[in-house]
Amino acid sequence: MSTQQSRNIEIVKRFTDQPERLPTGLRARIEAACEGQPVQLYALADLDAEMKLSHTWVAITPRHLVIAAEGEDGEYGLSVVERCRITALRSRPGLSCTVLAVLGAHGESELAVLRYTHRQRKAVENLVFVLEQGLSGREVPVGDPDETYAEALASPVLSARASVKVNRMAIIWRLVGYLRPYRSRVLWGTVAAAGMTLLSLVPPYVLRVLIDGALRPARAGEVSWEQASRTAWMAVAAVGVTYALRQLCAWVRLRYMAILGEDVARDLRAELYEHLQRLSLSYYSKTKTGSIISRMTSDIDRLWHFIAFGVVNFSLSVVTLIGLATVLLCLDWRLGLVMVVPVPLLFIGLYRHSELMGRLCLRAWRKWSQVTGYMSDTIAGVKVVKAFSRERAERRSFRERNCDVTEELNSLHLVWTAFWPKLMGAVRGLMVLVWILALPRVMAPEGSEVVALSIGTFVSFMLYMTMFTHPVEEIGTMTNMINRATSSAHRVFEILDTEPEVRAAAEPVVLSQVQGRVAFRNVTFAYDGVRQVLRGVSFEVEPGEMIGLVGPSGAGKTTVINLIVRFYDATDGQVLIDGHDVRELDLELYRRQVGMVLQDPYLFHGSILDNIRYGVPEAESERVISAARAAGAHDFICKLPHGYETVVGERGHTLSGGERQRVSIARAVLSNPRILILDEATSSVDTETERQIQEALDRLIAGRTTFAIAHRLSTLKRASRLFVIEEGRVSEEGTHEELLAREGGTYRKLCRMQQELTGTFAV
Amino acid sequence: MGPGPLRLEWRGSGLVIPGVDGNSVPVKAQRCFPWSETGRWVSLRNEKDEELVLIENVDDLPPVSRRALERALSESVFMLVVESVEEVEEEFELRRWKVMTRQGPRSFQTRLDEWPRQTPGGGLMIRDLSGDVYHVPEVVEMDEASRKRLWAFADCSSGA
Repeated sequence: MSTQQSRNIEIVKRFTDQPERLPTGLRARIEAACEGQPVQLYALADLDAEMKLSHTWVAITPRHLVIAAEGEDGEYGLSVVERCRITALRSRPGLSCTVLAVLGAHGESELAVLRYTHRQRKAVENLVFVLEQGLSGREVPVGDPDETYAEALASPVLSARASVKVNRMAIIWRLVGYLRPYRSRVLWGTVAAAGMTLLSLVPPYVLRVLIDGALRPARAGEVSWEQASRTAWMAVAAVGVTYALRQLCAWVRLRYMAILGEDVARDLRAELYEHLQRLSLSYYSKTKTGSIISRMTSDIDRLWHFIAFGVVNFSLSVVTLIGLATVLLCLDWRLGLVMVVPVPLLFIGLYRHSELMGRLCLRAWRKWSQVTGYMSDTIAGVKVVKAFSRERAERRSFRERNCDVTEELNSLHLVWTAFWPKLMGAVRGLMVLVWILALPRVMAPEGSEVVALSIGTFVSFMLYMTMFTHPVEEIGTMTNMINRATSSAHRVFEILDTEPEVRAAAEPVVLSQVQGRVAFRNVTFAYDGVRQVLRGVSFEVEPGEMIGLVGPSGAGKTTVINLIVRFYDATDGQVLIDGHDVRELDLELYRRQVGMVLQDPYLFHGSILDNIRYGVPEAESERVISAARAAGAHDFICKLPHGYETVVGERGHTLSGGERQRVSIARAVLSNPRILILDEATSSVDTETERQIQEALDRLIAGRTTFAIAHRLSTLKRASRLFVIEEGRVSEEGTHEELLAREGGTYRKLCRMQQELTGTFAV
Repeated sequence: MGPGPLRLEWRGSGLVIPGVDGNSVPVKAQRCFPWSETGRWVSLRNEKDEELVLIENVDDLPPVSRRALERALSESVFMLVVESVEEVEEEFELRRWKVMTRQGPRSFQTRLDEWPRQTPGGGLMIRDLSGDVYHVPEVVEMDEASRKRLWAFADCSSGA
């Protein structure tokens, strides 16, 4: 079983209330009822006719459709329909229920009616797709039915979160692993932090020695004042040295850990960015850019804070608390118990408080998101607001939401501001109790039955008690920090654990000079593994040919291009470049020899010069100008005040669509590609700009293998050959004239329709 | 609408408008205001999803037609009705819900920033990762434990 499959099964088990696969016994029964034919695909229809949640399995074999409905006794009743009897499938999607009717011959009642929630939709749609293809006489190769079923159910969860098993400790350990290259600094930081903790325990002890070893004996005349004075000055020196050392440790710790945190954050950012560059296009089509950027920035920033302060602070607070408890018990175990025994109760209080705060924060977060959502909506739509004079109403609405969130935040503040004084009050109450219990012992006359307590021990005990509150507070607030940090680490690791779908060959073929011979051999491709976008496509293209790809939207034109550039790998069949399977090529070297001009050219923030030189950063100005001339861009660039050094804004918004397109053509010209892709390069510009771009393109395509997609068929007249792609197949192939002459041909029909619509297309 | 009252029938698994020549037109019923005006403004649409008839008031239909329409609506606006909330847990990126619905027990997940929506007729609407809709008709009428679990998501005062 593949990792992907076991992950999907794990998701079905954890997140749905349904079996992770068709029960084995039922599968055997279905296959037996279908003359031993194997189950090809299956799905669960989880609603019955009464619209109650139920289990009705629907499966297909090469010749049958089987419905297995669970009876009240838990037994499944089978209903077998021969696929040849099915004439159509009619689906009626609703709010949360889709009704699928399997229709037989005209006049015959429905062969089957299935009802299911959206959770089952993808699995059922896979099945419907195969049945419908069968109705059109097309056989669809299907993979492992268990895998397809689990994948269909897991995909909504995976679109929200890429991993299933989440173990907080494992995440923390993985994060700690990033400290490995900085072992010596971690050691210094930890030693310094531990030093701070230990040193903070010294002054109360010194005070005890001062009182019990010098002051009290001197007053009692047990030692001379001179001797006591010597001890006292030594104590002062010890305290002074302790404080100095403590500050030194504080400095070392802050400096080392803060810088260490930044270094780890840098390493994570670098690793993440490098990994993102390796990921396939499919990842970017599934993940929002904002989500990726927030992981690179705010999540890593949170991790810096956790590494720089959280890890050490938390462990030291625990150590301090244990150390203090030990010291208190050693100083006087009776009084020590008064302080130590209630500690678990304090933590229970802290835990319950954090639970309540969690719910309050959740509510405040919801209200807050209403405010931010409202703001982003009305600010983005400010023109509409003004055009309809709705400013007053919008102000009122915002005020309401603003008051609402403030009310929630205030109730949150009321809770924590009440809790902490109570908690600290409880700790202070324990201190008072210690005073009450200790003072009679301190003041007890010699020879009394009360266990005496020296003044020095009493005072140092008091000082240690004041130190007790800090680690308790620290641990209390730390749980939230750990939760946030592990969430951030999980989001970062989720990207790092995503494997690129297009992988480099282990021993790649190095094509230093691509000739431009492209061949598709029986290529099949499905983005989701089931619905085929290309079905057994085969063609051969000679170097220097220009191929026009024509066909309706969704026919598979862009997929052909995606496979040539190897943004995706074919599900079946081979894409050959100069006789080599594209999967065997050194991808980086190969892509350097492929140029693309897209419908919406992307210009990076930077100068026009940088953008033209993007593929060849070392190109001299002469070559840049020459490429810009070939692209018809030189003239308009020279008219700009800063010429080639004009900075274009994000996505090049300071240039018009035609200008941006010509800069992107110049970029392609300069990289001198052997294979050129033109994907709707002139579709979003006016006629005059199109003419200029077309001239530039004509110069660009000379001598290169070119694949061009265009809806305006007039732009493809110069193509050596045209491939008409319909429903994932090449349905027609030939020159413009040949295809135009074909009676009843799709290309001829498309040309005529366009001519009628625009009246401009000249045959 | 054509002359005379609109006639609707339930045949097989769907709603149809019977024709005079025996050829009936299968239609699907879609509420224009599924939350606020459940008995008014129902759009009847053909297989190409084109509107054939817009019914202003369901009560104006003859009883047989009204029953057929209501049956069709029970499918098209079907949603899982939550009776109690047994668990709401947060995980990385996800909120996991375990509920008892009128249709049976169900577990589902929402994104952390996908908040339950207050519905015009009262109650809450929750949409899960698959797009299934869960309706909590009246939070205040639920058991105390459910109310407490829903407190952070609903604008009701009790439960904290």
